[in-house]
Formats: sequence, structure tokens, C-alpha cells
Amino acid sequence: MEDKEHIERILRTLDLGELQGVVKRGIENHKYFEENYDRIVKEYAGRIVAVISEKIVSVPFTSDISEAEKNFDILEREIGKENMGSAHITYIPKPNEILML
Amino acid sequence: MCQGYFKENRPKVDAILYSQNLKKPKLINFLVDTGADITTITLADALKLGIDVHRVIAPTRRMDVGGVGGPTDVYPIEGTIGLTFLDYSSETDKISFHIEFLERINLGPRLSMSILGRDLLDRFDIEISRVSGRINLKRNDFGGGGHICFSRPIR
Repeated sequence: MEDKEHIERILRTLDLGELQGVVKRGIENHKYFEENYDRIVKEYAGRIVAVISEKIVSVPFTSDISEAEKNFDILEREIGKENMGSAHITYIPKPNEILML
Repeated sequence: MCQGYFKENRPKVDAILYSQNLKKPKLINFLVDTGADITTITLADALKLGIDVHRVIAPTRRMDVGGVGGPTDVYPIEGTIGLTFLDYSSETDKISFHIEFLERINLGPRLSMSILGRDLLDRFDIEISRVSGRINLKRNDFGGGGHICFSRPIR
């Protein structure tokens, strides 16, 4: 029952127009990311990149919370808080890097 | 149907995460990891979602999990979360909304990529085709978990 209430609450607050907006901008950012992927790997391998409106911002990858927060502040400042929802943010593996998750 | 894509030969899918605790929906890029038991997000994505990482990453909440790359620590993020997958059909000029509900996800501070694990993927029949370059997640209605699907015209 509790789960049902949670789900109903989420659905009540869903703004489909907002979701569509996030996706539309997200697709544009993803497209730019795809088109420029070779250059992004060359320049940013081993780092986290954020792509928004044809702009790329990168920060180092870290598992340290304080460092991650500082890096996140940099990303937010550079790309704008309002753009964070649709920004394509991802880790760029180094060429031939083996990920065993 | 939820559709993914390949990046560097890795199967990926994008989803918008939404919960009553998250103020704004955020687009998250996931690795489709059929070998992972649980869905886990990176530190960077947790910060993007506005999660209080200091509260979540506490020693008393730590869970040690094994992986083929070695053991690592994860921290549960409780509270029902909606993962919304959106697809566009040019034939109907409609956008489909597929919302899956998870009772919890996890935060993996050492992860470099957020992963969709079997707690969600077991709900789907998954087709990963390198020939066509397509990844299709087709909902199995007997797969458990809450979900809602609907479509509406593009405005």
C-alpha cells in the first residue's frame, strides 16, 4: 500500500511537458556528443564530461566525496543549474580501458 | 519498448530519474549490465540528482558487494524512484512514456558508470543486436515491479 501511495504521489507530480523538454534537449546533447566522440576521447579520456548546447566541460573522475562535490560545482557553474537535467554527463573511458563492473 | 544504443561497444540506455524527493527530473546515462544484481548510480550522477551524498554514504549504511572486477562498497538510496524511458515514433508522431518504479537504487562511489542491474532488467526481455546496433528492452508483464506505459502526440 505504501508503495502504491509513493507511485501515486510521483505520478501526481509528473510534468509530461517538462519530461519531454528534458528529453528533447537531452537528445540534442547526445547527438552532439556522438558527432564529436572521437575528439572527446582524445581530449577527455579518463575524465567526466558534460555536454550541453554544443559546449563541453570536463572534470576529473574521483571517488572522493568532497572532490566530487567541488567538481560538480564546477560543472554546474559552467553549464548552468537549469541545464543540468538534460546535460549529457558521462565518464569517458580511456582507449582500451577494461571496465569490470 | 525501451530502446538503447551502443557506445564503444558498450550497451547503454538513457532514463529520466524522478522521485518525490528529487526536485527536477534528470537524464541519466546507464550501462545495461545483465551481470549486476542491483541498479547503482555513480557519485557524479547522485550529485546531479541532488541527492545528499553525505547522508547516503555513511559507514553504517555501507554494503559490500562482489564483482568480477573485485569487491566494492555501495550505499542504498531508499524511496520509490521512477525511471522514465521515452521513445519517439515518426510513424505515429507520438512519444511513448514508459515508467518503471524501483523501491530503491544504490550509490557506488567507486563506479565510473551508472548501471542498470537485474533488479530492473529482470522485468524485460532484452534484445542486444550488434548487427543492427539496436538494444530493445521489451516489458514482460510477468516480470514483477510496477510500471506504466502510455503515449501522446508531440505538440
